[in-house]
Amino acid sequence: MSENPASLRKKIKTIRSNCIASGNCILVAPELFSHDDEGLVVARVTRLSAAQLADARSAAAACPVAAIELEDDVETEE
Amino acid sequence: MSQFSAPAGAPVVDIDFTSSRICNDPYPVLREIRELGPLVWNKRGHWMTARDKVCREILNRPGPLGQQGAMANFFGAEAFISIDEVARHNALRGVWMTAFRRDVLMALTHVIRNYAEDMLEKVVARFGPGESPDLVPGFCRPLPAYVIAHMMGIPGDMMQTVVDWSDLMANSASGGFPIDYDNDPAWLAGERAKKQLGAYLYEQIDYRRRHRGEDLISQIVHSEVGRTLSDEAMMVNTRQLLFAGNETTANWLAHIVVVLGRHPEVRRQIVADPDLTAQALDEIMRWESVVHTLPRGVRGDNVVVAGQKLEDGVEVVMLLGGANRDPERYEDPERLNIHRERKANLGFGYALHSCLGVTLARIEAVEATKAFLACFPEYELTAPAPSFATFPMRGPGPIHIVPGGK
Repeated sequence: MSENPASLRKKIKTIRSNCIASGNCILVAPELFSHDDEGLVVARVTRLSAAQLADARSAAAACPVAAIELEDDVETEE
Repeated sequence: MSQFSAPAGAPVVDIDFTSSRICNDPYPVLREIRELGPLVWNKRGHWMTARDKVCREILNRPGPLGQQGAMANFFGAEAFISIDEVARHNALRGVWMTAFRRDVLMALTHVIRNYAEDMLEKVVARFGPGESPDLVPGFCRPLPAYVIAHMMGIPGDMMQTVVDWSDLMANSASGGFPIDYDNDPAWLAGERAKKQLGAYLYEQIDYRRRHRGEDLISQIVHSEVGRTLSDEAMMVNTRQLLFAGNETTANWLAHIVVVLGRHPEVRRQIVADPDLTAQALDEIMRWESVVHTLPRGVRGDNVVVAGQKLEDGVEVVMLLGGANRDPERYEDPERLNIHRERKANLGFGYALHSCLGVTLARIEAVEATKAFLACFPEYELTAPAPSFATFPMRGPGPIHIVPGGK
């Protein structure tokens, strides 16, 4: 992902044991989040492009139970 | 008595959840129901489940297994807590999604802490020889009410009146079941308070239309969806917001004070390491649920839950206190263990109607507990033991303590 400087590369981590299926992440960023048959959060993408980062941050902030985190993406690719 | 009866083959019991024996210690009965099967028929005319997985299956399907008329009667049909149609529900609930975000609420931490400390200061002043104030009306109950009233921008001189109305509404089902809607004084007082609160909120909505603020009422009045709403729809959504979190959080705080009084080893761990507070309070909610019954009504002819076909219109009651002690989800579930593996329990609900205010409630509980333990790092509960008045919304009271203890 060339548009995203290495220092800013993030990936989505979901902590499904926290999830209460509020659906907030899907409301905020439907292109990034979905849910499984039980209603639990599923990330549709893991490694984020620069364009997706703001939405991912909003979704993480909107989660009422801190089930979404953004981590540094250490595995860089050219 | 409902028109429905159990189909052949289903486990059947006859349980009166209004009995004080069950109310005071529901866990043996909840365990029995959980062990009988995924769905158990109560001869009083409804299905029940005390299993975690079955509750999640039900809560995940708000269409065929929806809120019932009682919810709309109490909160109003246009309040989002009563609405199962996903898009409509989310549009209304979405008005306050930002306000209830953790990063936004963190700015309120000091406000919450100040309310807690002020209330505790008054409580402490009332201790004396042979004197010990009831902590429920002195601390547990007013704290969440003051905080939400503050967030709604209720002016200081009206704060106590609004909190009193909320208390009367909470108290409306305390006169015993079935409720005598024409004569029960608690019910009638609750209905009167609900009307007065409604009338006051209409004035506030009108005022915010002309004087926009940052508060929760201004947020709905000036939201995109708010501009399409009738005043009544705005009022019931606002009133629901004011009321829904009060009694639940108050009872959670009451459980916390009692559980920490009875488990000094847990209390001392939290006092020594306040970072354990949040996880300890979550565990207390799992172990001593506040919302014990969550009813849903079946809509349609082809609804199957846990392999059992359910009749159109029949009621299914989720017994959350049982589900929160389900050994399929929790190891050694009857034990209070603040160090157990972290997993969301059903105390804040699940899926569409999961609690909007979960983060606020958690911040309130953590701040209240820290302030309380700063005043009373050591205490014992005094006899008689607190009792439990109602099963559906279950919390202990009155609560009296002796500071210091052994």
